[in-house]
Amino acid sequence: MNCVRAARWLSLWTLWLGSLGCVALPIRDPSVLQHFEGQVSSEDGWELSLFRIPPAAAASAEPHYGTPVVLAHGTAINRYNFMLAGSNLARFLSDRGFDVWMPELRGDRSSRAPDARVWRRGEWNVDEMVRYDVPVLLDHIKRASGRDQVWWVGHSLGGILGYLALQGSRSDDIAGLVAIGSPGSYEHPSRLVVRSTKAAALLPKRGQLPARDLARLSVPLIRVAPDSNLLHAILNYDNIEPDDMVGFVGVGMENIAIGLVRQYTRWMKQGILTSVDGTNDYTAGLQRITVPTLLLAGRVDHVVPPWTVRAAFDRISSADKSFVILGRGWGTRHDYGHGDLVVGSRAGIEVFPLISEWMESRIAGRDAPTGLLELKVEAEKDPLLDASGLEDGELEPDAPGGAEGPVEASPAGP
Amino acid sequence: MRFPERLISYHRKRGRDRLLGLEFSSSPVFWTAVCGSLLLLFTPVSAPAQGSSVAPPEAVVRGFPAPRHAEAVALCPDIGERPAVFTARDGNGLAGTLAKVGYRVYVVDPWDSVEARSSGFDAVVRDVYPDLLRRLAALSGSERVTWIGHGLCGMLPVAAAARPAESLPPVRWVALATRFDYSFASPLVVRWLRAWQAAEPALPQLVSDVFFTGLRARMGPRSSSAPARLDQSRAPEEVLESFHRNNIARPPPRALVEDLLRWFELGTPRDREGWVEYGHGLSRVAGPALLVAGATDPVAPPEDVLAGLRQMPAGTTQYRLLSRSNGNREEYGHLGVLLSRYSERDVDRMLVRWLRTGKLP
Repeated sequence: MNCVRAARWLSLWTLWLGSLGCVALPIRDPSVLQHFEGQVSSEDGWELSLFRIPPAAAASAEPHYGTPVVLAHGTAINRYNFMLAGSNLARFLSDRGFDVWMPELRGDRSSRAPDARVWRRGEWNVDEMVRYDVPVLLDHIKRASGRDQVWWVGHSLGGILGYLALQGSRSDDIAGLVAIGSPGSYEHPSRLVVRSTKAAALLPKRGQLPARDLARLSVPLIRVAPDSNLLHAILNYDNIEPDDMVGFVGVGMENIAIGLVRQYTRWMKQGILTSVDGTNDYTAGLQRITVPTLLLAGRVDHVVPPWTVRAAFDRISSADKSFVILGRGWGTRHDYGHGDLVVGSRAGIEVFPLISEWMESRIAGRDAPTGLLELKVEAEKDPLLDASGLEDGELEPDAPGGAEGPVEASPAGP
Repeated sequence: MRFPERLISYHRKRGRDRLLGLEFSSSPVFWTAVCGSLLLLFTPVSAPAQGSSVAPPEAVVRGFPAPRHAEAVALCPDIGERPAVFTARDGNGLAGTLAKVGYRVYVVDPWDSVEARSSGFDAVVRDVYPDLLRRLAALSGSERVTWIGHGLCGMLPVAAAARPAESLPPVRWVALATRFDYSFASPLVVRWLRAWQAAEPALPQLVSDVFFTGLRARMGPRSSSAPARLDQSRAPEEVLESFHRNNIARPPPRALVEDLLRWFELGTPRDREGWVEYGHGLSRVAGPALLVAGATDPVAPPEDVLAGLRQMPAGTTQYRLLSRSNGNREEYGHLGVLLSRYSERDVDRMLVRWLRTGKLP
């Protein structure tokens, strides 16, 4: 048994290390991509692509119509985090009247590094994203939309960028934050995380982790063992169909810079989020956040477990802060993992309306509950409870006499 | 006995055969009065002062007779469960595993008492729990007692430590799926409690969503990870619900339901008079402790177990999350900890290791 296990690990490591040299090439002309809006230049020379879905005209009467919302993706993922065919948060918000902007952060294939060497070395980190990327993105979106503030919705790393932006000088530019599976600390990591942290020590000092290629290689694994522990750590199989998983892997994955991996590893070892040089304690800085905040956590999220999101909730100073756990015991059909918080098969029914209504109520100035929110799925939107497919009267009790009703006298034949 | 003999001898010394004007040697009235007096005098002395309504610890015999000096282990169910929860899994359960490895296993049930039904949690902590501990200590022969509490039962050592000093036998304890932080109520748990408050059994789907989370719906050739005894059909939820209702579940005492709802409203566990904050016992509770949380348990979510861990003495307390990311087979829920077909591998072995060595695997 031990030999089998050793062989399995050896083959995985060979695959892992062998693919380290592969660096994804940037997309030559991002302007051909769907919903491409333009590129912005950061202070340190990166070109970042922005994608936009304007608000649907049908929602023009809504008070929040045209409010810009930034959808910030997570690590190793691109804009398809929010644009998958089955669970499209961008389209959902656009249909409800929001002006949806999706930046692709540095290192995504649609971005362009100052030179090829920077791209290959992969040394960028979260600090640089907050210092250089977020300000230019905010400036551009504000200018293009004609609004003073935007709403920030981030998944995983995207939510962390929201936390950090609100701790800095650009906090006035963000009206509210929705952080989906974004940790405020890294206390009590699971065995999986601890092992990953140890494994990260074996990585080279520079380069990119070929997450995109590895994910593509894992497609057979998705077909054969969709509930394997490796995949379960990222997505809960109960909450996403294998076809959707494969579809997501095909278009949504990106490589991870070693610089990012090193910073994450440090966070997991320390238990708190800090800058690379250790001078800035981002976890402690959460108390500087005072805007309305909604935090979502997946019950079986092993990358960002709920107690690490709760740590952010407890520290944020805002009077209007809400926390939602997405799990069976909290009202969803299945327990949510990390990736399926946004790309799960039922996210469109259980998660997106929650986010949209939370923002709408704040923009409209309505009184809304705070604290631990209870998820309420409207029965008519749930396909399993949906009775709209039935014919009128099909659910009515049979009339007395059944089919033997009055019979019209047929006209006499010729 | 000295009192009547002295009286009788006093009268005999004086050569009288009469007591209070009655012929004591022959009169049935005299003997009736004497017997009545004796009964009145001695009845309060012979009955236990406290906990008279508590069921005594029940030894669980699983075909593995415990050695003479085997350590006593008390298994205590949550408020909505019968003690059978510890033996239900394939006829053995956690009780069977512990008996097999040489522990003297007792199942205790503090919730099935007059105190719990009339005065709720406060009376259980004040009267029932100390009484049970003393009895268990006497039964085990050694002074030490191991207390394994599921759900609210895991809170009893903490709550007892929060009360003014009282000498109790030393306890090492395991809190299986016990919530220590009441600031965030899981909505469905509150709904379940409110159902019982209104004296209406909770709906099957609600029971399933609160207690049977984490049982894997799809894995290998089996349709679910419910124990074989329960998994007779391809509809595990209905089977489990039926099992839960008929064999393991029972209506929780109304007074305890009221207590829990009050704690959720206050955001902290506190006695009815407002004198004792039970949460303060976390920093005072003695003895080695093990806190176990199920990854998908809405009754005692890991974050609310961790909140307790942070307040407890670091050297003597250990914590384990039962989750697939920690090498377990399930994302354990509240009852899955005891009833899943994998809990023997994941939970029982871990507990045995901890009981034997004080360390976790």
